[in-house]
Amino acid sequence: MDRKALQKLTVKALRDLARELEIPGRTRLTKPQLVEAIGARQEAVMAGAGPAQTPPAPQAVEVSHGSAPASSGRERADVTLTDVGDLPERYGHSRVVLLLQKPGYLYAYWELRDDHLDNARKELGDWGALTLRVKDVLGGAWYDITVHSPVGDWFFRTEWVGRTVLLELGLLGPDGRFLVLATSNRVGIPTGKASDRVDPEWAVRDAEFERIYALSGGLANQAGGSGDIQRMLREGWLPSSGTRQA
Amino acid sequence: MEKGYISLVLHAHLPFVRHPEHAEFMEEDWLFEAIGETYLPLIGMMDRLVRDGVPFAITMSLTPPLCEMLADPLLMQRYDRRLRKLVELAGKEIQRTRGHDDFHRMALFYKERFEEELRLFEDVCGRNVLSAFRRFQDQGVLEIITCGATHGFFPLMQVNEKAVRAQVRAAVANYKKHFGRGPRGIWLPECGYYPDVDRFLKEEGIQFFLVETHGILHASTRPKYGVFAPLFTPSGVAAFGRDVESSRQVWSAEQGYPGDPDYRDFYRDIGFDLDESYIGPYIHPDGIRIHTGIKYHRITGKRVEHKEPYRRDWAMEKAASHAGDFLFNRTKQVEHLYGLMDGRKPLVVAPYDAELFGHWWYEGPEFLEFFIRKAAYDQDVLRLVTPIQYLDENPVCQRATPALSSWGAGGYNEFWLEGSNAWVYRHLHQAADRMCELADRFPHADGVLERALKQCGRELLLAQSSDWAFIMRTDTTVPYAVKRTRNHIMRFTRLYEEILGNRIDEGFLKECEWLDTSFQELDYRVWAD
Repeated sequence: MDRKALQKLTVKALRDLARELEIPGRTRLTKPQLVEAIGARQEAVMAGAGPAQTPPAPQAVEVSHGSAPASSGRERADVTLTDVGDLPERYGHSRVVLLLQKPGYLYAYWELRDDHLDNARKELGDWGALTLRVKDVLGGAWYDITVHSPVGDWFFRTEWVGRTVLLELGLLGPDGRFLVLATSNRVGIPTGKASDRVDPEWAVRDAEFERIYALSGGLANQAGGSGDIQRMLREGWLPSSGTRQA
Repeated sequence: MEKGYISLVLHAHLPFVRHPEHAEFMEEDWLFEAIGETYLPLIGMMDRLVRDGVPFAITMSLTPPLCEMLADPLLMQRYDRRLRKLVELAGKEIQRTRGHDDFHRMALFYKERFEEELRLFEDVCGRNVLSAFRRFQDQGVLEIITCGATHGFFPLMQVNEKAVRAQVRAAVANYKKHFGRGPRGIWLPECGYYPDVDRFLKEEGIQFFLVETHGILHASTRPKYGVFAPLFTPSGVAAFGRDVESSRQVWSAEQGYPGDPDYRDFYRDIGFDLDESYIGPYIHPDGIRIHTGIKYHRITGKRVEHKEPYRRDWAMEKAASHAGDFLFNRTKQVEHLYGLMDGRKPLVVAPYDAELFGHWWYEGPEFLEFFIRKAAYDQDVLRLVTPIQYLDENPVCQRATPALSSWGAGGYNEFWLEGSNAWVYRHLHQAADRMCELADRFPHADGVLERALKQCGRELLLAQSSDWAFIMRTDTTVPYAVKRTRNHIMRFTRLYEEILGNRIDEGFLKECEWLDTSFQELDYRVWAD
């Protein structure tokens, strides 16, 4: 269902759908927020930009080992483990956490307490944009990303490789004043390159190093590892299509 | 005198899957298939090599969850039941395939194979697979190393390093329980390294770990010998980098051995192919088709629909010739490198998922045995060593800090942190913080409180397993992985709240203890400051 179709539903129908999809905070969402949340859930979200999926709803499905397909039309009954309710939507504190995905790509999740946010809003005269400030810890440079929800997550790109960065989550006033409500951990972004530094005890000339680097596989794509074998199998390295069913 | 070394490192790991609440549970088959197709064949191989006096050295990580499952009476009883049914099924197959020579020959082969599996399980292992591995370690041919307690991915746990340290501490305690001494090496889960995490390894007496190629190549100073010599991290623990060439020959889609047309096809299994009236008792009781392990076809060719019958003799010939090819390439590699390294002997580190050998690549264990025997008798350019043996012979190594890295696709964290699985970290981090809070708050608990704290620790560890995020990413059995993450976090959260509210519900605690039994030895203080 696309967003236009969702907009035609009643709030109650949307809530029911949100419950089915186990969208966190659904009882507090307004209609446009529900449409957005459900729409976002229904789209496949690609890494590299945008929010992550919320936990998928549990459902009975066919399950099999690794990448091997289960091919019975029947559903299994035993996937329901002893269930103990929903994951918390918030933990009741103001916090922002920064994680590295790979050089050039970061991920943040955050949560702001309502009273912290309200107090900050008041201080800025009911103005202010919820903002993630990305900071270069040593260099002091920063840039801002506007976010829309006091509980959320986001994948984003950064040009800053080889630097240590952190996030400040806060409210940015119209006059440029920035009230910090939570500060993240620091993340060192790897350069993804060989170091320029040489240990005098283990001195190595450029040409020698380039050769050993190449022989070590430094110029090749990654050799493959956990997950690759399953991916290869699924992508038809070992042919698998069509013939396995009785 | 040889000109270099090779270290074979097999990483054996499965997430802790044990469901006493169900008579049969499909995901438990992961363990049973791995025992039958990988672990027992490797034990059989080492048994023969030791008996024949073949010199060899292998390194294997046996992760704590895997050890816990292999030592679990309920799971081993279920494995035994499954294996006996397989023997029975193979007997029926001998009858069914009369008149079809190729299949009939294979049915006889399977009957013998499953009976051999039973013999290995009962006679060689005494129904205790771990004890067999431990015996090889005591004989000096196998170096068993540990892993993070539940295969937690360290680079994404770094936000609370006490949680990382607890994964290491709990793993070492578990290793001591199973193997009677501390581990000398560790397989960092998914080879996930971040700078300075090695200091937690040092604290526990660990001497080496494995790291992805670019972890070494992109280290803080240029590694003079590339990945062909380890680096000492600032803490003094040695980091061994993976060799790309030897990995590619086994893993690669284009040049890899396991895709050879003569090898057994993974997918054509009688569990899917045969009529339910016949195969019914050997698949899932709800009628869901599963792999039985009886497969009659060979890969035949890339992306071909029609599969030819499997010929065991052809496959064995191919495994022997691939082993010869692999050895030839490694000796050429070592000779070439030796000439470039100022007389220092290069080390080629070849790590693989253990389950590749046998489970995914059916002929993998035979390939390994051919390789080891040929390496022992057909050449004198290289020698099999463990990382510890290498360090004994080469105590001087360059010092540098490896770069953040993992062996997952892309080489960093993205396999475990992308759209499908990023949601888990908010909850995992919160639970880890809370666990540290509990450990600091109750330094001397006993009785029910101690049990509840311990159970909190178990639930947290089980939730931290990188397998759940991995499964969400690979898009197979996703609901199970989601459910496991949710349930462990929720059990943790409820226990946490009950502990802080001084109102522990012993009934609930007991149920959690019954469901999530691993790490009986766990000390919740591993999360303390």
